[in-house]
Amino acid sequence: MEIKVHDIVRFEAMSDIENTIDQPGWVKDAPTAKNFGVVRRMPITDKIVPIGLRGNKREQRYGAFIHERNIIQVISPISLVGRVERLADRLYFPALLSIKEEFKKYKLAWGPTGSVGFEIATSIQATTPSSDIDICLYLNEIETELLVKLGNFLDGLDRRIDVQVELPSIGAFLLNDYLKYNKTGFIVRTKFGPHLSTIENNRIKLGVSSEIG
Amino acid sequence: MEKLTYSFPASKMIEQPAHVGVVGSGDLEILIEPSNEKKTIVEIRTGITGFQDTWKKVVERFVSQNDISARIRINDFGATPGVVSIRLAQAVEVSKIGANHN
Repeated sequence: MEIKVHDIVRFEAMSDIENTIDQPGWVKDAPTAKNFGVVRRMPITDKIVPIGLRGNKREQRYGAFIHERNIIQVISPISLVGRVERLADRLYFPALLSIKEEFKKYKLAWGPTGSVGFEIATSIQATTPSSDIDICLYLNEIETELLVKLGNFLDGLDRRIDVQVELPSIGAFLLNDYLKYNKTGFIVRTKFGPHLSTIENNRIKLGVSSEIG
Repeated sequence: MEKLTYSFPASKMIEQPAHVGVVGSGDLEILIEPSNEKKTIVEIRTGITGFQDTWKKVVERFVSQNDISARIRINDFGATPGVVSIRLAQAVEVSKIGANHN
């Protein structure tokens, strides 16, 4: 079973979660946390998968762990693109559909994440009218020209779209951070924490990391 | 929206204002400006409430390593403490070397 950051995992019951120490009170009552978690950007060791449980408020996030054997379904952001049309009544639908159509022209591997992705994957209400639209874009290598084009396209939409560009075996960066600051310093999030990075000879050069989390 | 303000005594001036970071999930914008008040003043605006203790630790750690008389405004979009620390260090760097990131 390949499990990646942003994937949504389904489990039978809260008793399948490995850690229950310091569990905030909202976790047991939140419909969004009952059977689903979102894979966090951390190493998976001994089949223990780091997941985040969501509550209905932005500050309600609980970092938990689940053993792979307790995962009954893995839903990837890419698999959600085909389901976008089912949510035609949602406020974010027109923007998401525009992205879907535009990204199709470039044959891009992408998918909705964050509250929008969670809602599409689980059919549980997770967005509010003010929710951002988060998406991830999977590239094999940095293609600056393409990223500039996509940035311009997304700027033209009426909602703010946060794009995390995922690169295999490195990590991810925010598209707007990269477009503005790739020469002076943008943040690459790796499994081992964030790094301030630059581009040299068309490759990412990871720079300083943080000593804390 | 929560607003947090911290103030610490400081002595050294920074060269110039700087703006680093971006509006985006898990990131933050930082605006740093020189101040004549001999204080480091940090103002944080965040949509994620309830993390005062974490902010306090990150800011205290930053101030313990940087003696700068400056007003630092942070517009947070759910950055982790690691990202906050990197951005703060970046802001100070830019305010000293003159390559404005704007």
